[in-house]
Amino acid sequence: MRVGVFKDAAELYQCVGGFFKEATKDPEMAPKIAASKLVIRFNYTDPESTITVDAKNPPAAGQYFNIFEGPNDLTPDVDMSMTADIAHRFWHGKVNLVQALAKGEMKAKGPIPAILKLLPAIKPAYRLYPEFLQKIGKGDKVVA
Amino acid sequence: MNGYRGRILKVDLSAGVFSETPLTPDVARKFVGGSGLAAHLFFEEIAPGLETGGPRTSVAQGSSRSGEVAGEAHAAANAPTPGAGPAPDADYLAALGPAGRGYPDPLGPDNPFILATGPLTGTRIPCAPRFTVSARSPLTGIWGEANVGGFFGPELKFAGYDAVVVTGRAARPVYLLIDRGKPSLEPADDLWGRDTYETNDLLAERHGARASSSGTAAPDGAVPPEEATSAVGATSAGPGLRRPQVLAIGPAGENLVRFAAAVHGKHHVAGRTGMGAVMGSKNLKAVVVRGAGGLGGRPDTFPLADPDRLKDMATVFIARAKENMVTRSLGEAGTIMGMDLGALIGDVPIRNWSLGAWGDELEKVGVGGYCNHLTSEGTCFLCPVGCKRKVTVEALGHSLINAAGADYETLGCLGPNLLISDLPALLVAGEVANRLGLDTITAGGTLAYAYEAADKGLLDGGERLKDAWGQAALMLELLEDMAYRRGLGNDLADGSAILARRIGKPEALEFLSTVKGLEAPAHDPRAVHGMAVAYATSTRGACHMNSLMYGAEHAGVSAPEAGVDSDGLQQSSAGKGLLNKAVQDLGSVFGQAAILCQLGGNMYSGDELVAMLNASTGLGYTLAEVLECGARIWHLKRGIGNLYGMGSRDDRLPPRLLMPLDDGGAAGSTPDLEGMLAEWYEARGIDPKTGRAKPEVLKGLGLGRLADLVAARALPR
Repeated sequence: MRVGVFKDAAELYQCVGGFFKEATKDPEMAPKIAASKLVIRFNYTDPESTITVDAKNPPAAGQYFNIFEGPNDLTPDVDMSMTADIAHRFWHGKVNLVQALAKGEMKAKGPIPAILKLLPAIKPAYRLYPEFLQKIGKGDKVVA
Repeated sequence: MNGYRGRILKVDLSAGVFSETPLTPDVARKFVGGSGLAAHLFFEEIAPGLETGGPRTSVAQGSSRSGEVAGEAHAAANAPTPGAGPAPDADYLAALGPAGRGYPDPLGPDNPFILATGPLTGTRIPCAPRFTVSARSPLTGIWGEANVGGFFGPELKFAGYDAVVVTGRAARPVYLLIDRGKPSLEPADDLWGRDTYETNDLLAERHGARASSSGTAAPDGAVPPEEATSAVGATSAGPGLRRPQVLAIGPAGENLVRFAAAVHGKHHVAGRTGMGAVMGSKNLKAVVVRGAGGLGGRPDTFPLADPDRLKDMATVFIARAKENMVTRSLGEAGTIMGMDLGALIGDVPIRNWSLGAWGDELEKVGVGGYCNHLTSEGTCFLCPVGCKRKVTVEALGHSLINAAGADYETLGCLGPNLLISDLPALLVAGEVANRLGLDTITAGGTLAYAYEAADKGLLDGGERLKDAWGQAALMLELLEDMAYRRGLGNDLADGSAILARRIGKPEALEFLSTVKGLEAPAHDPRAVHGMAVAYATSTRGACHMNSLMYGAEHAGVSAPEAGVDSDGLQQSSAGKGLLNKAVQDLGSVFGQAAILCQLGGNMYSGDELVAMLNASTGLGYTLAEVLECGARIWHLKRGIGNLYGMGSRDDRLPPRLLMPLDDGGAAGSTPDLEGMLAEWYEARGIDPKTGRAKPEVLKGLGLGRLADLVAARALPR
């Protein structure tokens, strides 16, 4: 019996996807992600799910970039793969990024300098993601 | 002897005499190579002097270049070189504090200066191009070593030697030439005063190579094994003569700046612990090596036990380097990615380690900004990673064209640590520091310390440093002043720990960043607790490369079979004492004796290290024996420090590096250093009261002579 953080893809999209949707409007994170002009695909397993960040094409009104859940036709510049549990811990700032990459717990395809340019944008997430989880009533999932 | 040349060159600069001693199978097996072998050779050189109380002449010879010592020969040897800066303080040995005791004087002729290769040097194994440079450190007074990549190490081995031991002092500046097995001392009066890049180029050209604009080996990149025996660049000396490789000091080494470096080519620096000053004290301007023959295992060079196995392993590793995320990242982004990653976790020192965050300023000196100046990449001998950067930039009146670009440590220590985020200026500063022959880590740490001392009104002559933070032009001036020991630069040229001791007030010690006199590199122990115990117990002072702790905690090195298995929780101290012992044992062979690059080599396991060593040497190591070698090497270096008065009180971090930060990725994080140390002392067999290994531990490793000498030394007060 699976004992992951998210019981199914729907719950992952509610938490991680929902956070990304909030991030599209966040004045701290969003401009930096938008400035990258990248399409970044996050491929999760356990449960199988996909979230695509589109900072390349014109964003919807009121947001800096677009988010898509599930399969789509966009061609990613950066392709990241990991388990949902690793993703959940990563957005808490609890994953040693280089170690995870070295051990294959996270896989990345795409130009490394482009991926590294995203790092300053990621930092506020370590505070914002747990706050978002609390906000949507998923505080039991916050990693201490 | 498989994997080795079996020969050690001994050079007596005072007498101008060469001799050879064999590298015996027993010594090779026990100390492997690199700084493991160097520590053994160093100890064998100095032990007789220690056992008899030391030659009385050595202290007098080394204490000053001002000619105060008696004796015409000594006066001639010590005569200031025209253009040299003021002599170092005559009581500089006293300025070293307790570590100043003992023989030999770090800047005296009896201090053995040792270059050493390892059993993987000059083989096909990727990420094994390195060599070590060792001596008693004039900066710390204890064991000193630097670890360098590039092409010099393999060329030294191709030239016929596993190691070179240099003692004495030449009467006039010289350089040591080792040309296809034949050593000679050549006059260097025309080179004295030149910077390291000029010296590298002139000597390469003098001995037959056409200097490239970048000044690195031509071609600057991996040499295909099949071409290793063919001419590497046509030369005026004729076909078939390969380009020599050079290791040289600049003005800093000539002026005995205690953290002077020696520079090979343009990219590769023997930076830490003042090895350049040791060369300068011997009037040794450079070492030039040119080999003959090809990679190990070929008929015209040193034999290998199983060359086919080594070739197969190399093929696997080269393919792995292309897939491994860390090596791929290093190849595409260089070590500068440490700035971007470090900014996330609070790893980068800011304003003398006093701030945890700096707005968006760190982004300006990360990979994104660096890409704007990047022109190409460089690499070391047969390395598929290619982490070196080349840049084109103009700043502060300097113009760099396709020049060796600064790496993370230089950017971190001269940049955010001094509140400078002007990347072009920092790239220029990196080149200037390299040319002068300065260790940028100690230079940056010393400047940061001095700026704060001036702010606090503790520094005589500190008026010049008013508002120094963030001033790139001033920083550049101060680098030059340190190298030439001019004005305030003369005080700064001895490093921050000695400066603090000279200030002489307790509060002056509060904001140091040194351990055992060596300034910490740009990795904050509050962000990664394992680094705290690594710095505290490193055999050369605060160092992130003296063991595999950096690899384990930052870069994904994993060797559970050897106890190197980090839990990935960087801001946790639990279990890091035990991890520290494991990374020291494996690391002393992996990174110091074998000698593998800890950046590219992060893709290797402990079992693979053993397999490589056996394919090269045929010695049939087990992992347990390799780890025992590592422990032996580690304890020997530690014991050498004990001989110079180092004790457990020195296994501590300065208050500044433990002060909780208010913000940033390491906000509020404080390593439990005492807890980690307690765990480590017990695992290591070291008495926590004295900081000395138990005699039975040393004797069990075959270090009985060291144990007796340490026991005979009075305990440090």
